[in-house]
Amino acid sequence: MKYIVLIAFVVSFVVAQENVEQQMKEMLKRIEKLEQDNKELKTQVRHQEIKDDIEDEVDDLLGDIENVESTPTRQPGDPLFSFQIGQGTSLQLVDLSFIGLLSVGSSTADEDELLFLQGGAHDPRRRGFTLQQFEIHGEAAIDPYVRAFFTYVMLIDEEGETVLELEEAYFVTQMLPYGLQFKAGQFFTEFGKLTPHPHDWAFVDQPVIYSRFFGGDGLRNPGASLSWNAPLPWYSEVIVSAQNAFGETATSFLFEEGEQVVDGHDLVERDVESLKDLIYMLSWKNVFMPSEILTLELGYSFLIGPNGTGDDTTTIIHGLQFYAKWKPRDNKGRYVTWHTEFLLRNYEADADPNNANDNEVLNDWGFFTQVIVGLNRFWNVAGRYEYAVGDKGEADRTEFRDERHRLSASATYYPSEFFSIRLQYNLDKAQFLGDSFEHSVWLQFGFLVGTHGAHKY
Amino acid sequence: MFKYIILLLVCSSFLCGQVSIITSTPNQAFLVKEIGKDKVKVESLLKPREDMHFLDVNPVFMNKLYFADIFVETGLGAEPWVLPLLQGAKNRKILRQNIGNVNAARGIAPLGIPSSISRDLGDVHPQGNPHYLLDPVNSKIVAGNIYKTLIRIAPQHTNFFKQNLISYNKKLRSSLIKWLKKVKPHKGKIKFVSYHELWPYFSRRFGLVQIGTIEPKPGIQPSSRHIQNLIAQMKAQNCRLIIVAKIYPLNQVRYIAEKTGAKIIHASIEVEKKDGYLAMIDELINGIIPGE
Repeated sequence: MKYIVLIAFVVSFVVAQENVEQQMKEMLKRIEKLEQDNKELKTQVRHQEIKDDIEDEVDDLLGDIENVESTPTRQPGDPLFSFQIGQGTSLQLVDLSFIGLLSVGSSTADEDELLFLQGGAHDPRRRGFTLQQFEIHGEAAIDPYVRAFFTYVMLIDEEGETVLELEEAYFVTQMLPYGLQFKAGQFFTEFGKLTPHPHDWAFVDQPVIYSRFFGGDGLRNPGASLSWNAPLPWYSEVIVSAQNAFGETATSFLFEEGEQVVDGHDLVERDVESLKDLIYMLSWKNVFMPSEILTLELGYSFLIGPNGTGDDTTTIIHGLQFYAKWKPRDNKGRYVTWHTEFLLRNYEADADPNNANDNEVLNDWGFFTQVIVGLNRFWNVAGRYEYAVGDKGEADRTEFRDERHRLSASATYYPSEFFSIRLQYNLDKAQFLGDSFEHSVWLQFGFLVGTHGAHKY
Repeated sequence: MFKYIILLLVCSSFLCGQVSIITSTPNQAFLVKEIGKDKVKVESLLKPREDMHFLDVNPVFMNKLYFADIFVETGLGAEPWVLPLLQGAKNRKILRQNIGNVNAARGIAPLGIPSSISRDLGDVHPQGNPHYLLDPVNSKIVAGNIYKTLIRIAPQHTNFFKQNLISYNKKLRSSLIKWLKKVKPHKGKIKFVSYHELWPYFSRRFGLVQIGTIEPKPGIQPSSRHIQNLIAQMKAQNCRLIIVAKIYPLNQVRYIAEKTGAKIIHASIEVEKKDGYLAMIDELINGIIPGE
């Protein structure tokens, strides 16, 4: 009996012991779970705190997002060149830029011949160094309705003399309705596509046919013009202008007494007596984008004005231009342009008793065609072919009217937006030089200081 | 024939009743569409992979501006091509200071205004860095500028534009909360270099530290000596990230990455996809801080 009681006691003790262990395990599990819950709760609280912080930060940054009428407090200045003269106020002055072109080179043609081969007043025309031009360009708003533009050009000519020219000084309206714009002052006649500014060319010299028809400095004189953008799905602009016909920048027209434009016909003094003694121009330019990366331009220009060989003689110049540009819409600087212009001049020359020549109409024509390939943002290469010729009249043709071929190749490097280095080779064949070919090499440096200009298209 | 074409153009514009808007950049065009929806017809002059500083003065763009009711420009002197395009367009409504012109930078506090202005410093922007839309907070200001012009040009749709603007602002708020939460633990710890000085607004907002640029100065191409100095600087500062906008070349970037073991983020800075501006910033942040 004693043993039975002892066994029962031991058994009950063991069972009780197991229950306690079981309970202990359960207690431990519950504690672990509680700790886990506590940890998660703490994380949630911390995240909520961060979230609240960030939401507060965002609300501070954005302000009341439903109050869309609030006005920004700060007004940045106009993008024109300006001086800060106080908190949030800037003084708008003139956009100024200074552009220099310096070249150095040589030619197998001697220096007298070079003056004829390089007909542009800003072309390199001597062996050695040439400061082709130093241009000061400015533009500014006159008032909300009109803007002003001016360009002074300084150069050192082939005689070593410093020349200062007021190249352009004009105003342009900007508030006329119906796509109209009026311009008046001294300006380049907007004939053809080629810009008259040498720093925008892909070559160091101007096309032969431009030198022949418009002189070394281009056709520019005081006058007025009206342009109109037609409301069409493509860009279509018509320009009409009237300008003075006399002076050294109107070579195909009245020009200057004592000069000769065509052979054997001296220019005489001719007064401005009526409206027909001005130069009139009509041009029509059409530009299309058949695809996102291709632009095509077709244009026609027409000029009529008096010439100085007689009292009632007229010059007419026609121009046809074609331009195509392929340019992917990225930032790699790759592009190809093809630009061609044909020009034809009918020069009505009066009889000249001094040279024993009868009246006659002398026709000159010529063209240039050029391709520019942009390789990347820093390099482009270009090629150009030109041809020009004039009718043979009663007198022999001079250097600016006889047959002329020129082939040019250039490579240009742009270390930055404001500096360029160009190497150019010209192969010339001109009737006045006989059968020989002339070779010229020019190295040109271009630099720009001041306002960053826009890229020409 | 001529009369019919003009009549057709005028009628189509009126019949559609849409406001015709031209913007400088795709980001601005996206914001215009967010506010204007089907009441506007919008086109950006620049494409996403073009540099905002360089657009050809193409007469075709003048023609687009000729027909525009509103023109949105970046401002801060970033776009030298705008003025000649506006002059050639002969549309007085969108001239600067006129009713249809939006200077998107109005109200933005510009960063990076140089203490002195000289081309010695490269192609600096006298009025400050114009890449302010890389801080999404600034998109609220730009959207507000667009809205204010839209309601003046088309006041009959004021409520519609207002609701769309509020809706955009709400989306911006929730995105901003998500992004700031994500970058918070990394603030001040992520060092990077970029190709061009594009990122001051972005790095200020998201706490990134820029230690240099691959261009030695804005607009100046890097020399090999500069690249070697940059590599040494990145190694010394344990910089393992290069952020390059898709408008810049990758050849020198790859070389630097190879030498430093840095990760390259080739980032869109203008909207390229249909999912838009906020998705573009989202992709950028996920690229910098992946997998969280």
